[in-house]
Amino acid sequence: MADQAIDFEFDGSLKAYTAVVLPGFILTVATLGLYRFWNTTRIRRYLWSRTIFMGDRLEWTGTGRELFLGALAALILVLVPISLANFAIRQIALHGYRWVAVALSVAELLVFYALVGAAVMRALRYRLSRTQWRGIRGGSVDPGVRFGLAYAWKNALAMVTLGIALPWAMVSLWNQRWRAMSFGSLQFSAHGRARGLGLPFLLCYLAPVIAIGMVALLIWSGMTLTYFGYEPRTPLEWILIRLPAAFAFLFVIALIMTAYYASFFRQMVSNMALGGMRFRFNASAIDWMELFLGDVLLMVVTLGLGSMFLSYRHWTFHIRFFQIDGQIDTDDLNQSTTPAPAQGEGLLDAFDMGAL
Amino acid sequence: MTEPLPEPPTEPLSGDPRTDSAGVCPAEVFDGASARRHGVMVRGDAAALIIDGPDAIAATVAWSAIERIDTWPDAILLGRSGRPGWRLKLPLDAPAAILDRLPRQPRFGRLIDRFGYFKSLACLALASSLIVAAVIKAPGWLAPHIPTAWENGMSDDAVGDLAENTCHTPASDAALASLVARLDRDAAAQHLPPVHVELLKLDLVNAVALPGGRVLVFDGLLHQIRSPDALAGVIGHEIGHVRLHHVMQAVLRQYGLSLLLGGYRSNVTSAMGQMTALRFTREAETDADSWSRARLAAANLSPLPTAGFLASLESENGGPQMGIAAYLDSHPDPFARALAFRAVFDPSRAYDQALDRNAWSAIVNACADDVKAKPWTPFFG
Ligand SMILES: [Zn+2]
Repeated sequence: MADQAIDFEFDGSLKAYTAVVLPGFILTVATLGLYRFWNTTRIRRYLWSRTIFMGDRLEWTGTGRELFLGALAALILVLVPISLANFAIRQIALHGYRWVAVALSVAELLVFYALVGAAVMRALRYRLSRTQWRGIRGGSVDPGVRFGLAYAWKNALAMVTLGIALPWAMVSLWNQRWRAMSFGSLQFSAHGRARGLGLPFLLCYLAPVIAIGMVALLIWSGMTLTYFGYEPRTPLEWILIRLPAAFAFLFVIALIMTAYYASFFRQMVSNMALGGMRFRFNASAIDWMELFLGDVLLMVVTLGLGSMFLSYRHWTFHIRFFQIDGQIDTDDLNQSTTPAPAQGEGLLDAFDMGAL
Repeated sequence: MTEPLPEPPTEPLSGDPRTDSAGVCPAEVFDGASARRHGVMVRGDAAALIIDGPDAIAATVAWSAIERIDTWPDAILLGRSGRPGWRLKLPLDAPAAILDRLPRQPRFGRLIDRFGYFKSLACLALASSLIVAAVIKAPGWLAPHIPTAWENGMSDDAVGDLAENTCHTPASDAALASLVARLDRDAAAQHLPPVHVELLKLDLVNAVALPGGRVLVFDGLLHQIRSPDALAGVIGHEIGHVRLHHVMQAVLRQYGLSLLLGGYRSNVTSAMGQMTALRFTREAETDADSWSRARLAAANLSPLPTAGFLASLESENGGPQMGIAAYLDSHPDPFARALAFRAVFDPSRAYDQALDRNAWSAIVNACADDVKAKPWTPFFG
């Protein structure tokens, strides 16, 4: 099979996608959001099925019911206990046990992080287990508990070191997460390194300094107008005067963050392999910035209605820049023996972190 | 499925290739065990789909066990119940003996497909409207039955205790307390918990009623208002919100809507958000005004100064100023309100004064005199 091109191709169109997503979006509105789980499934079925690898289409086998039950379980098992814990801690604080409350808050934060970590892992596992190609699916045998704990302490370390350990934490968590994943009988390998991320991250680290400069600009732009005798008369005018500086501020910060994320993502993907295939992802910071600015513009111009096209934009973006070197022997690719999780990415959805 | 049928270029005698005696067409099978592609020939009879190919792949699958997975641009994808990963890729122009016996393509979900898209949409939209209506109406029925103790807890959650930002001097506290006692005279007799009225050090013209029977009068309002009687009218209005359960209604409505809108994210809202998010309905504003007028009359205070204050908000030239915007935002249409207060003025009556000169100046100057009170700064700048 080595003679075949083994990059992903996408043969969907925005028009056909709209015909899929619009009726679902209308149903979502009519059901006060409840239908979105089923609509997400429709969107994924479309995007996956228009993505071709070695002549065969991907297939999304997940269902709306799985996503709905996952979200419901997360609501009952996680968010309700967390709200109750929050309430209890506040009562303890109100009754004067301040330090007890602080300690409990820290513990709660760690538990919360561990849950988010487990959610990240389980969502990835769910998505792989519902992604099928030539009848073969992915998955993982790892329930995500250890990853959740690692996620909590590595993020805590990054916080304690004021962010210096963040690149290392992100890299090691990426590797740990992907090494637990498999597709069919093949295990993913991930050997990303934090080295080389130093410079982009240093810039990120300097972002607060730049931010202070920009805030000064923000205040100054208001003062200049006042100096020329223009007094803001309503809160709206007060904001409008500072709007250009605020946009410049957000743009610079976003550019710095994006540059770091672009090189992080590029390095992580290019150090991954599956069987005889090695991966590459060659989107530059500018490409990512175009994607994000396009998203923002789309949302603003359409007053949020454009949100239904974000999945399409992001999926095609990833397909466009994702490349595969090497080959895969399809006769040796056998079915996954991992257990298929029963329900969807509930926790992640509840924390509003699901990207696709 | 009614796929357009390609015109048969050859074999004009055999007619439609889909209905010829053989009815066989090529297809591909993935067995769910390996990624190997198997070329097969398939045909359909009344009972089953018959797959001819290598021994391990050949099968006769009853129609009831065939699942229609998807319709792709270049193929129909079939699955087989009880065989995860088993897939058959059928060409779009497969014989009618197969196509006509395939299950229907799932589209929006089982329930919606059964009733049809537009019928389901209409039913779901109707059900949702009923739920929204219930969420909007229910707080009005529920609010009077919520124990006050619960309300106190909510207040602490919403804005903190604001102890550092409220202005207290012995004279101003006494003056405010006596004014509130005159307006809220029936409270003790009816065993209602007291309303706490405090002055907030914030240079905006506004007054708000919060959960837990708290009323905050902003320092900025004291400088805009020129008479203690008008202050009585404004405070009476806010106490009215408390006594008529409007605060609890607004909390419940906000909570219900945030639940409806999938808003477990709303617990991140800031104190300022909480304060301004508690909106009362127009109806509630009118009722609070009526309550205020009744209490002014019972306390033998003139409604005219309140009318004057409200009218002054409207007649500001060149649109509302920054400071007044907040009050107008939460209390719209001051001119109509002013008229309603003026209408109950009785020229033949000898009204009392709400506060004597010393008490009034103690209240107006409380935030300047209380050196420990810090200005409340909810936002940047
Ligand atoms: Zn009001």
